[in-house]
Amino acid sequence: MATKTVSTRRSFISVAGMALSAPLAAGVAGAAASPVAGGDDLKARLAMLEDLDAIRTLTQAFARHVNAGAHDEIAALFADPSGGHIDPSIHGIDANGFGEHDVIDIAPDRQTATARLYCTVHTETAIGPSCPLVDMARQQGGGVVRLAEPGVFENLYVKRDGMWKIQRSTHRPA
Amino acid sequence: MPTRYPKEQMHRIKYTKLTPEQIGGKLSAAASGPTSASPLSDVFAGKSLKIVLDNGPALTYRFADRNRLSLAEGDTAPVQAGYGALTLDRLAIFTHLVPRTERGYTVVVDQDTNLATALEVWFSGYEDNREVQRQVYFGYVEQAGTAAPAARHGITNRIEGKGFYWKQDTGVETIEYYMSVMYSNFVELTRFGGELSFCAPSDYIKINDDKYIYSRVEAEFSGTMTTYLLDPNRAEQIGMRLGFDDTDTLEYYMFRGRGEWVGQIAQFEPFGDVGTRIVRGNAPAPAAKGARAVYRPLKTNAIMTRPQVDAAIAKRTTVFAEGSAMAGNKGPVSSFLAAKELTLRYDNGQAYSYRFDDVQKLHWRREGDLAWREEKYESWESAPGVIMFGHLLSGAPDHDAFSIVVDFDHALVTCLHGTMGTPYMGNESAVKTVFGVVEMKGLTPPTYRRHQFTDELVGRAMTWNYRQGLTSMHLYSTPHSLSWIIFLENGAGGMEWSGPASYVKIRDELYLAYWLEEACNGTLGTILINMRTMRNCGIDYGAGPNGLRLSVVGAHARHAGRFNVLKYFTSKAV
Repeated sequence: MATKTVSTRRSFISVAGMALSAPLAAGVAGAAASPVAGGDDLKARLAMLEDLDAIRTLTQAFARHVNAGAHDEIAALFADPSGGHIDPSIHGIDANGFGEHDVIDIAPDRQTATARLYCTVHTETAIGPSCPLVDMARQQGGGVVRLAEPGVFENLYVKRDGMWKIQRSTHRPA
Repeated sequence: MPTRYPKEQMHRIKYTKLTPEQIGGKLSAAASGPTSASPLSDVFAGKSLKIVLDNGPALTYRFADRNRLSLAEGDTAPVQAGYGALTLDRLAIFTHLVPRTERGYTVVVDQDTNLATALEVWFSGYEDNREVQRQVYFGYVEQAGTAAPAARHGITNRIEGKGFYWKQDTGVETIEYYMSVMYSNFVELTRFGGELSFCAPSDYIKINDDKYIYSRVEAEFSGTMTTYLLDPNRAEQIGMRLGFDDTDTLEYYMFRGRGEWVGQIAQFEPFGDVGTRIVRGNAPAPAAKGARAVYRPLKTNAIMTRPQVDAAIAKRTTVFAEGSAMAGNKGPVSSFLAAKELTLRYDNGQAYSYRFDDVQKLHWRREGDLAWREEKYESWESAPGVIMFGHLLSGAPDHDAFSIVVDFDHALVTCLHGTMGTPYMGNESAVKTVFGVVEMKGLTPPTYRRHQFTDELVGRAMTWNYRQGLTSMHLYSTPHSLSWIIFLENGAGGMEWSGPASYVKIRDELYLAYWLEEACNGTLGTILINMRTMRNCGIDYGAGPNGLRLSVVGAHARHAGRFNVLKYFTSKAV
């Protein structure tokens, strides 16, 4: 588990799906530098880890809903559900993502966070423009290009009423 | 016997829209069971069978003799019906209708394994009542005191890519290509003269490694079902045919046939994929009883009148627009013609002079005309000295277009002259092939030599990858027709259709082909096939509600194989 030190934000290189206790024991930012921490520090770090876990849970829900094509549920994860759309070509996020290279930065005030999430993204792009062959392919479930490529989600999170929400999510090839 | 050519080919026949009452009345004549030119079998006479079907009814049969049975479907009261049975080794197929209904069953029983496949068939299940519907059930013959077997017959791709010539005991001869896991391609050599091939949704079922069930329904045509058991090694078949012909006469007969294996082409599924499911990507799985993917071209493409076509073309005409889905693998645009002047003199007495201003602009005029007309064109040098180019003929009465191949090494030209509109549809292309020579400074054309029609492609299958995610296969199914097969996501053959076609030899391994998507979207496809570089260049010409389109085709090829069928298409003395 690596740790990234940032003066104004606390960062975590996280392992998806790992229980809260693991990063708490092994990778809490600043832990190595403060072997003897006071009660306030511990509280702060615990709160930060809770935020991290909440964001990770939110991210996993995001992936799950993308894989299920559950657009309403995806939108509900956003601070502004009306803007909660993803690139329509994205049809899946690898079940193993997000992975070990993910970076999640939580602002000191614990009200915003950013993340770079590395994963395999399954895209599906309709072939066009339409022509007789494409039309025929569509009738049998084809007429699309399906790809599985490494990609990065760059997400911005915001805390609303004590709950983490996605404020913006963009995807780019890795 | 002289070859019987139909007045109208199958795709042109206006089959009667029969009512359920008409169908019921005609089926009553078959209450005594199917006819058969070969003796029917008594394999089941005096026996009883209870056939248990997965997700279907239990069928309890009592066979009185070789012609009469009683059937109880589930818990219903038994009904009496006429039937017929035939055997192939230890496999038996029997068929019957259910009296006073438009339903029936065709059942295959393996007497060694006691496994069974039943096709429930019925009429009036689709808006065209005459189209036979079917539901395939897999199951077994119940044996007292014996546990139900775990194995089943099942769908398969193990006979995908095979082709057979068949001759039934009725004298009917066909060539049948199993090009797909859900469709097949058939040539009616005797019933329709063998000029064209046609396509039909089909079932392929594996009984064991040496025996299979094939079943097709001639959807969009007569709606007739043909179902048979086949032994690929011995090229033998036993089966049944049910439906109404072009005179609405009931065909309900069993047949025994022999044939010839005409070849096996490649399959493109991953190794290990034996076709136990049909991979249909985003398409929802057919849920309704009997539902399956059926290509219905006249339901998915507009049928337009000539005035409608003229109006649509007046609104929009696109010539070689960028980004055509079919041009993802097109070759580079040629500069060979730029700045050249020449005349193409055709054997039909017409001659066209050209001035090629640059790589995309030309001027042409017909011999005798004074005015030049400007057109956008595109050209490709398929082989050194062989140029394919095409253009519209602005102002021509039938929205004419030329797709032209010029061999400058031999001063020869072939023109596919496309026109829009046929007696059947305003937005259906027609085409004439015209041979000729090139007149140009420095070239002396031959006097007698010309490009020629060829049958060298007949029986070949080639895949065409137009761009990522878009691949089809051509089967040059007869000297006068071509079938296009669209691959499913896993590389299995999917839906297919067929149209009239023609082939011209330009050079060795270099062929100009066209096909017409008649009674479909009306497109004229023209491609120059280079079997040395394994790519094509070409031009699609079509019209529809969005106007007229002249578009580029460019694809990479793979050989899929070849069927040895040419001998069935030669004209013989009678």
